[in-house]
Amino acid sequence: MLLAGRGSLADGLGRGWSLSAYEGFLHDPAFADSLLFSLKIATLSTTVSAALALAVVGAVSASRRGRAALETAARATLAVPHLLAASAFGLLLSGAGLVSRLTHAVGWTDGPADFPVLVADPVPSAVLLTYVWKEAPFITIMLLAAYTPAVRDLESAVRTLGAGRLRRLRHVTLPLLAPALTEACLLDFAFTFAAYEAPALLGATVPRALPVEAVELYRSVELDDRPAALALAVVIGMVIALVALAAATISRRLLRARTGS
Amino acid sequence: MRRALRKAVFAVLTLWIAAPLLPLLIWAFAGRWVYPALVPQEFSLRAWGQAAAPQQQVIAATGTSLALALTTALTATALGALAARGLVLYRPPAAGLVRLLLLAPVLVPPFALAVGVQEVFVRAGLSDHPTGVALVHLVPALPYTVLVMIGGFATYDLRMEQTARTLGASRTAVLRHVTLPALSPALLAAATLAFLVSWSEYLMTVLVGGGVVTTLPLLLFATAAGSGNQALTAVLGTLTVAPPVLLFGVGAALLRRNRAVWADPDHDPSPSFATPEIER
Repeated sequence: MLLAGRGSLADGLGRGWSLSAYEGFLHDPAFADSLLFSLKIATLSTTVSAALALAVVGAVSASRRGRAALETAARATLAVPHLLAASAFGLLLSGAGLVSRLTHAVGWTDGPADFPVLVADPVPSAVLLTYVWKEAPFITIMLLAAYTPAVRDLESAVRTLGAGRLRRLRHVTLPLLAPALTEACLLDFAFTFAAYEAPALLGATVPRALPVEAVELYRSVELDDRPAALALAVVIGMVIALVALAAATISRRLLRARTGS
Repeated sequence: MRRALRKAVFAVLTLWIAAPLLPLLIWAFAGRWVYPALVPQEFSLRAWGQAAAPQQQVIAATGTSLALALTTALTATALGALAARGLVLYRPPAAGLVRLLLLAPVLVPPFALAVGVQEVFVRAGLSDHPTGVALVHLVPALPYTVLVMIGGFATYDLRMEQTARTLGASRTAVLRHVTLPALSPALLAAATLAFLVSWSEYLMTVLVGGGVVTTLPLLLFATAAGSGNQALTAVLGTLTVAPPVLLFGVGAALLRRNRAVWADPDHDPSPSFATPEIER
């Protein structure tokens, strides 16, 4: 990381010091687009995955068998490589993919061109679906690990005191699961923000996700592109560092709120 | 009513998990599958034959992937176990900081890691070489093994080792008959995670391997991105997904058996598979 930072501050041959790679970004509208695009992908996929995981954990955690089944299913999905998930979603969602064939069979669409563009579209629907498919189980597992018998005891204690389902969720379950949720969301954001495979396979050429842009620049034969690629690596790292800092602040607050009350 | 609801939830979940894997399996055995048919017009094993042809490098790449993943699993688990042992049992000063540093690589973007490391590797002659790739796979694998092994050592009692030693057991005997059996569930889980991390790695392998080291994910990406050969993509995909899922199944079964012997499940803080993931 440090070496990449050094390289980003040099000219094309890796000598001397210069900020030109970073200045280039300020004048390049494509950079802002890529940054926004990657932020959008990471934020949306993390939020949707977290909501889905919370809902599923909340729905089935009451029964022991349900939890075991959920854990098995989530672990099985975790074992699937991201690259594979991305290729599989390509086969599923492309114009002539299985879903498109299904909608044709039912009579909703007339042909591949009539099917909504999900793959290689500026709106990264296929990328998001892939990430939600992979990350929701990840967050689910982190939540289940935090959903200890102690949490369940507290829940039933509050229940005997007359709290309804929603109030239990709001005042007991959520606050107790919040640290695990924060941590899972941070890992998820860091991963989806920096990952290359899914946006490279399923994303559009414009706008490109930051990691895809960085890899393209790194492989380019132009000497000037190299510091730019390394500078992008630094930008990606900085965004993740900022998010990690925010997450650390949130979890410290959560801890203080719990011990303070 | 509630049972019906629960069943419906599970049906939706199963469908959600199976949806992307279904076309993969069908395509792998499809000979001809022209739009808009829902099932292939012809089934065949042609794509499998194609994958077995030497010029496709699939068999060689599978071997490379396996070797890399096994090396990473062994090394990362051993190092992770040592690090966790030091952190948990001997409580060095600033253990929290050391722990944080050990876990930090999870957050480092793979691209930054690969290009940074590349500078060093080129000088050391490790780039474009399997050793370099194995080393770089170790970086994202280590946090997971450390984390799992910290969980494993949390319930480990050092006095068991001391007892065995006072009873006259040699160091190797203690390791073989006390330490390793007691830690086997955590060791197994750590090794599985490290294997998965290495097995699924794409970007860092490409950048550090420089096109010389070809693994299964590299072939899968190239076929999925450029060839339009969906049957071959599906075959490569099936080859890529089978080992992790098998490993997961075997690992879970072994873990269940081991746990019954070694730990009271209610007091086990459940290191193992419950801790993070993978293959980022």
